[in-house]
Parts: sequence; C-alpha cells; structure tokens
Amino acid sequence: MPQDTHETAPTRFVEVGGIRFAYRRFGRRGGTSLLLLNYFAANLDKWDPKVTNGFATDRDVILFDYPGIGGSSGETPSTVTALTNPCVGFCRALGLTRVDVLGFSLGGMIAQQLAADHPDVVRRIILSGTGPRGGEGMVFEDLSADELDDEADLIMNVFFTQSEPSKAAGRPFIERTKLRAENRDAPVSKQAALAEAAAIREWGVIPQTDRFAMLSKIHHPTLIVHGSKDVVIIPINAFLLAQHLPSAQLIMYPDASHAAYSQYAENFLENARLFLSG
Amino acid sequence: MSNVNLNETAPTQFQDIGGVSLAYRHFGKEGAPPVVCFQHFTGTMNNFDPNHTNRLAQDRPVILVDYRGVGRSGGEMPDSIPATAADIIAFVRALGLKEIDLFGFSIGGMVAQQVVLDAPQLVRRVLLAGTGPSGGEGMQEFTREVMEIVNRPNSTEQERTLDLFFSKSPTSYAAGKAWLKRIAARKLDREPEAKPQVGEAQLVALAKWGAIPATDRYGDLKKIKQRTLVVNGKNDIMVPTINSYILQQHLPDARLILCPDSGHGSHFQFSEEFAEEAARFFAAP
Repeated sequence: MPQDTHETAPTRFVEVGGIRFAYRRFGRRGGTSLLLLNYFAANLDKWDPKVTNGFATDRDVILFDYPGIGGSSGETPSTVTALTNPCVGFCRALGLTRVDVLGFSLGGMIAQQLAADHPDVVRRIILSGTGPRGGEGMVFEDLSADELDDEADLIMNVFFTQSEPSKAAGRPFIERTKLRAENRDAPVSKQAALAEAAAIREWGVIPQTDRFAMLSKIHHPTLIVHGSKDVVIIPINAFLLAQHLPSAQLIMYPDASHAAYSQYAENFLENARLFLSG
Repeated sequence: MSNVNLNETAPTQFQDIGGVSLAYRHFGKEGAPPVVCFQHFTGTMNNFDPNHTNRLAQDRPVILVDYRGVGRSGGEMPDSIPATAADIIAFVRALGLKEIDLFGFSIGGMVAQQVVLDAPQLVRRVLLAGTGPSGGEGMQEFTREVMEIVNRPNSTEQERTLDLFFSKSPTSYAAGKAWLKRIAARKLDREPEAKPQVGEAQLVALAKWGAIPATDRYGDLKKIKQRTLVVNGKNDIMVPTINSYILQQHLPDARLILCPDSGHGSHFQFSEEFAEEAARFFAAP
C-alpha cells in the first residue's frame, strides 16, 4: 500500500481534555515523530507540502490544529502558554512521549514554550521565522484577521520578498497548498484568528527584567532558520535566539522573508535532516 | 595514488608576483574554478584543516597561499588589507587563472572581501569564516580578553590558539585538540612559523580595516554581488559574532550559518559538517 502523503493522509480526530483535535499523520514510522506547530490563522492545509512530504520520506510527520482552529473543537486560547498546554495533551493522546518539533512563526513561539515548560516532551527543535519572547520589534501592529480575506496576496507580500526570484518561489508555494483536493480542513474563523493575534502580541511584550531568561532554560539542540528580509519577525530576532539559546544553530537565507524555509526548501530539508538525525 | 590526503602531500611551490615570490600549494580535481584559501592572523598554510581542503579537492582545485612575508613567501607582510589583496590578485593573474572561488578565515576573510571588491570579474563565489566587514562592530582592536591570551606568558602557541578559536566547553576544546592533531599530520614542507613582523603588520592592517568610516558604513558590501556563505561560532571573541550577521544583512546574496557552543574556529570544530556545506556551496548551480 502506498504511503500516505500531505495530499492523501486522512484527517483524523482524537479527544483529550475536552478538545477534539483534528490531525493528519503520514510518513515513515519508527523514529522520533516530528510534530509541526502552525502559524497565525493557519489550518492543516496551510503547511507547505514540499516541506511536509520532504520530512515524511524518512520520518513520521504529524500536523494538527490548535483548539478552535480549523477542524479542532474548543475555544482558541489567547496566550502562547495557554496554546502550549493542549499540545502536551495532544501528544499524550497519541501515545507520543517525546517528539521533535518544527514551529513556524507562532508555532515557533509555542515550540519554545513547550520546551521550556515540558522539557521531557521535546527531543529537538526547529524554529522557522520566529523570535524570542519580548524580541525586537515584535509589536505586530499590522496583524489582523482581515488579512485572511485575501490570503494569496498576504502570502506574496509577507512570506516572500518583492524580488523576482522570491516571487517565483511564492507562486508555486500557493499552488502546492491547493494540491490536496479532497477532505480539506475547515477554515479558520476570525474569532480564532483574533485569539491567536492576541497570543502573538502578548509574546512580543518585552519583560521588565531578564529579557531573554526563558531561552537559557531550553537546552535542547535547536536549529533556527530565518529569512534575511523577514518582514513579520525581523531577522535580528533569529540572531538573538541563536545567541541566547544554549545549543542552537542558525541558518539565515538571503533574499527571503517569512517563509524562507519554503523558498529554500531543498537546502532546508537537507540541513534539517542532518540536524534531526545527528 | 589516493587523492584523499592531498593536503598532506602536495608540495609547496613558489610564484613570482613581481620581485617577490609567494609560497603556495595547488592540488585537487581539475575542471572547476579553483578555490583560493587565505589564512588567519599569523597563520601559515600549515594551519589549513585537511578535512576542509581534502574534501574540497575531491571536486575542484584547491590553492593555499601564504601572504607576502608569511612562511616562506618573500618580503614583508603588508600592513593593510588592500595591499595584501593586491598581492593575491597579482598571484592569481600570474597563475593565469580567469575565475576563482575564495575561502577566507578571519583576516583571510577580510582579504577575500577586498579581492572581490578590487577584482570582481575574477571571483565566482566567496566563503567567509570567522570574519567581519570593514568598520564592523568592535573590530578596531582585539579585546583585553584576546590580548591577554595572545600575550600570556608560559603558554604554547597551541594553547593560545585553543583559547582563541574554541569555546570553554569540553566538547569545543576537544574538537580544537583534534584540529591541532589534523594540521600536524603533514610532515612534508612545513612552513616556518610567522616571524614577529607578520603579527605586527597584521595588527596595523586589522586596525585600519576595523576603523568605522564617517559615512556609508557598510557601503562596500553592497558591491559584492557574488554568492557568499558566512560561517561563524556563536561566541567569537576575535571577530565578534555580530559581524557575521552584519555581513549577511548587507551582502546582497549571502547565507549565514552560526554554530552552537563554538567560537572563531567553529569550522574546525564542526569540521566535517562544514566541509560538506562548503562543498555543496561551491558545487551548487
């Protein structure tokens, strides 16, 4: 039987803590599972299939919706900490004791919180297009649920740069996310998106003291990837993560914005595989 | 004969560049642009990591060269980066090469940037390790911590190099010792250690390079259109790590890799990983 892919894996459900989580699981079983933590207002269909299928060739890949997002029931929490705790329940419900995590943007914030609060649940961390709690310029004034009205426009403007090569990477990205034709996930409600926006803004508030103290608690091997022209999380935040996390490698890609890991998917997958198998 | 340890067996040769001859070694697979490699503060060709040079040599010619006044190169070490780069450009032209890649570590990375600026048509790709832009952050002089190590009495050069290039963790230090062992493997034609004039002139050159210009601080970097890979350790005490970030942000087409638990010599610490990354970087279409 052919292995499931991003395009064919059925959406499954598991109930824990009063939440019915929507998730998809595909790829090669055996090693440590890779749990993908999603970005603002994104459901299961928003992940880049090139990345998810790329990982699935040699590992177990799990996508899921946070509470109240897409096909998951419940109310979407409005802080990163409150978004993190249900992730632990979700892992336990699937019988996963320890996972690798890939967090993109908001998902990277949740990945950090998860590793800090539940260090035993996490083995290795990949952070893509994200920043530390209280990072530089993380005020997110422009973040709005209205952006969901024209998603293709949003993706071309913030996931990719305005250069021709970057735009040329953006258009196929959008097409790839449409390849899954059937059993697509439920859309993200504006209410759920607003809760996530609140969580992201709260994460961006600079702590009064000990600004990056949380990072010193995260001893897990970490791979940070970032676009050198990320307009959502400005790139100095990736440098700050690399400087303050005890065991982090940073890769910063040229002429790339928020979705650098998609724009440079081949190189990213190669480095991520080396990192996860090292 | 196996070609896997060319770094250890390639003879030292000499090329006249107009009144002075530079010592160099040339080995590896022909048919691709050669990668010309420049060494760190007071370093000679002896210090190139065979894990790097032998890996690169599987795909392309590798040329190691000692600056004027270093090792068995004739004359005196120039006291500016542009004068050093001018020697290198003359050297490359004297060898009849039309297109080269560059790999520079530390002061060698500064020479590499200057070579691209002064002879852009010669250079295809640039690999920079443990280095920074002209007028970078904290680059006019070494910190007190660094100078204390450099001038530490009753220490060997190897001990000083370990403290300058590696972090204080046991893992990093052990990797440093392994690198020292690798660079001692070559028995043939070892270059004499740099004479005192080299360090003195290079300190002057570094101070000039590090001086912050009154205007357009990183303007030169925008002129370097060549694809560049910038690599450094998380905590480089010789060329502060923020300079690698600054290079990436201002160079038009640069990728940055920063490594954990490491310093100036991160590419020695993660030697094989770096060699593979460098090989991919030079080989990519």
